[in-house]
Order: sequence, then C-alpha cells, then structure tokens
Amino acid sequence: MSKYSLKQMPSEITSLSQLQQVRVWIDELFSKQRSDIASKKNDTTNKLDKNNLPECIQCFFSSEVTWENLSELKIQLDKIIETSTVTTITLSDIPSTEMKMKIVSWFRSINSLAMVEFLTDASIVGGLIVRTEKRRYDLSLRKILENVDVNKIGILNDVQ
Amino acid sequence: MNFSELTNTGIISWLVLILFLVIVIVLIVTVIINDLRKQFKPTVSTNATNTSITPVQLEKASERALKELVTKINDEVSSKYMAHLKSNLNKVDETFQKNIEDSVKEFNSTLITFQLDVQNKIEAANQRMLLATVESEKQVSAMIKSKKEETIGKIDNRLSEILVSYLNHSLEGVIDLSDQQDYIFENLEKNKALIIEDINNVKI
Repeated sequence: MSKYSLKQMPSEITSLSQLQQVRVWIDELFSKQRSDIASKKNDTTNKLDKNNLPECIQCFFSSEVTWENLSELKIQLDKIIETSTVTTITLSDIPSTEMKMKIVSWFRSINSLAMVEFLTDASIVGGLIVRTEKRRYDLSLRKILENVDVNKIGILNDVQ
Repeated sequence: MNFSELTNTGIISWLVLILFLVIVIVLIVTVIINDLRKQFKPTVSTNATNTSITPVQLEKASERALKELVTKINDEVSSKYMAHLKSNLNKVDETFQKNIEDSVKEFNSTLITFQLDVQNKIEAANQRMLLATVESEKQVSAMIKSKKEETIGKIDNRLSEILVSYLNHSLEGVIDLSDQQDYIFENLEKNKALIIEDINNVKI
C-alpha cells in the first residue's frame, strides 16, 4: 500500500482553524481507537468506515481510509499547521460559500496548501485587503477614496 | 491936620469912589444897552420907529440878553468841557481798546498755540491709532489666513475620511460582494506575482 500524501488541500478546508479542528478530530479518533483496543469492544481492523468519519476528515480521502493513512495525514497536518503561511482576506461583507471557494481556489492555484482566513470590515466599503506575513495589499475602495486628491475634484475651490 | 479934617477927607474920598462906581456902572449899562440894541436892532428899530422903548421892555430885553449870554457862556464851557471829556474818553477808549486788542492778540496767540498743540497731539494719536489699526489688521488678517489655511488643511486631510465615512454609510449593504467579484479578482491578478512570493513558503 502506497504511503498517503496530501497533494491538494480540500476545498472545504480553507482556514487554519478548520485545519486545527480536523487535527483535533483525528486525535479523538486515535484516542477512541486506543480505548477500543483496550476494552476489546470492536474488531481492530486496519480500515475505517469512511461514512462514520466527520465530513472534515472525509474530504481528505478519495478512497478508503486506513489508520496508517490517518496517521500520515496527522503528521502532514502538523507540519502544515506549523509551517504554513496564513493569508487573511478582509471583505466588506460576509462572503458566501461560493465566493469563499472561488477566492480559496485562486490562492490554491498558486499554492495547493494555501490557507485563507476571511474577515469582515464594512468600513472598507468594497474591494478587499490581502494580508500575508510579508505584506499587506490594500485593494479596498476606501483606500482608493483616501488617495483621491480633493483639490483636483474642486470641492475646496469656493473655500480657497 | 486934625481929626475933623481927617474925617472930612475920608468922607470925600468915599463919596468920590461911590460916584466913580456909579459912573462906571452907568457906562457899563449903557454899553450893554447899546450892544443889545445893536443885536436886536430890527425889533428895536421897528419898535423905535413905531414906538419908544419902555423901561419894562428894556428890562426884558436885558434879561433875555443876559440869559442868552449865560446860555452862550454855558454852551462854550460845556462844549469845551465836553471836548475835553471826549478827548479823555477817546484816550481811555483807545487805551482800553489797545488793551483789549493786546489781550485778544495774546488770547488768539495762546489759542492758536493750544490749537496747534492739540492738533499735533490729535494727529500723533491718529497716526498711532492708524499704525495700531494697520498692525491689528495685519495680525487679524494673518490670523484669519492662518486659521483658514489650517481649516482648509484639516478639511483637505479629513475630506477623504469624510467621503469614505459618508460613502461607507451610504453604500453599506448596497454593493453586493458578487458585484465586486470581478474587481476583487482583477486586483488579485494585478498583485499575483508578489502574492506568489509571499505564500509559496509553505512546503510539506
């Protein structure tokens, strides 16, 4: 059996917090497995019933789920959580799931494991603010308005 | 010479003296009458032609002549006295007038000096006030200009914020995110190169 490798982050998982949640679920599964082995309640086979797993874990597996794969996923998720650079996107309104997916897909086209956090700030009026660990890209409508030269508009002509 | 001789000589002397006086008086009266006759010749002559002058008429004429003489003398004396008085009065008047003129001149001189002094002081005060006013105007103008520039600067600086705030309140909930989709991805594409640099650190 080939070793599990996470090539593409599932589209359902967009943020680091979701990833951490997945990590907690995996820990719980292993904890349950250990307790089952101890009590000898179930058949301790290598395979897991995919349908009994949480959706956030299911999305990582296209085929059957084994404890080895799950263990490997756990290791890789730990690395991602430890090393990943989270990109924060601020929008003027709460984005729909579809919108979120589109934006995340755009980032995943650059880096398949990119993690995106979404924030909402109505004061930016429109557009978005992208914040990486290195830079901040203010692409908001507020920024455009702030850069408007009022003298060119002529609002103050009468005053002057 | 004995006492009787002396007495007779005295009496005779007295008689001679009295006689002389009588003659003199008669002569004076005659002269006066003649004079009066000459003065009142028409009347007297008329009367003389028609009637003779009676003593009563002569007495009245004499009385009238005396009155006229007294009047004439009185007039002369009065005129001389009045002339003298007038002369003195003129002198007094001249002196008084001269004093008044001197006083008036002195007063005018003092008044002119005072007026000039007051005028100079007023002009100096006006000049100072003008300078102070000009200075105040300059200060007020500078202050107004400074305040205006400060206010305009504040407005200039704050206008974007005001516009944003206004637009924010105006556009809140108006611009749907789906309407912004093209704008969002257009801007992401513009900055794609830099974003790639930033997020490509993630490696498993």
